[in-house]
Amino acid sequence: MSKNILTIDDEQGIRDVFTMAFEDDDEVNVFTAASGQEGLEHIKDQDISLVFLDLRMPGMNGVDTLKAIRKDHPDLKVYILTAFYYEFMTELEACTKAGIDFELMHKPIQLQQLRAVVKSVLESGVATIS
Amino acid sequence: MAKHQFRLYLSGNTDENEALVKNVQQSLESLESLFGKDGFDFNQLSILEHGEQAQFDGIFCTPTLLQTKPKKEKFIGIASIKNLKEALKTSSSS
Repeated sequence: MSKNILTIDDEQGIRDVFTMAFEDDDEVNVFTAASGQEGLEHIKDQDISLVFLDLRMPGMNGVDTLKAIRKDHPDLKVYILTAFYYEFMTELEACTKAGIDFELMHKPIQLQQLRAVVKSVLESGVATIS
Repeated sequence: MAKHQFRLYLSGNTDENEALVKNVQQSLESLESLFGKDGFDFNQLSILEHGEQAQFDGIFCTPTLLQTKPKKEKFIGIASIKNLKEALKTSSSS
């Protein structure tokens, strides 16, 4: 049975990467959203198993969107998409101090890495990478 | 045989991550015979505090268990401890 993943990012190019990564994969359906608000509507309407969320977006940013997701979906796996720079990390420290769970995925994204992360989460498998 | 060294990269100090650290530590201890007489070292790093180190190590997601010695390998999707043990066994024998 196929599973739904959602990427929330204001950059069209990033949304396209997700669509391309799984266009030939019958087991993964990709939903995309250009804003936090649009993403929340997908989560409400679809059975989403995994979310990738851009940290910096105009309007509702990644942290605000994450907090909104956690209100109704405390166990939904959410990956924050960000470069691992100090100034970006400080924005997320408040979330961990508030006990809000999330995972991190490095931006820019590489297709093979993205596929490995999605498959490992959806299938509870371990990927070994040299 | 060189001492095996493992570094667990996490997204921060949450309850979920603390539980994961314990599980990974126990998994490594249960597989200690694979690592020879020198055993293993294990430590954990939050990417929120060690982003530059994570980039240097080629980490692209959390959680990732990085083995730095005797060979460099990354294990991702390690929430399943059973599968992690299998992956460590396979890596150790190859």
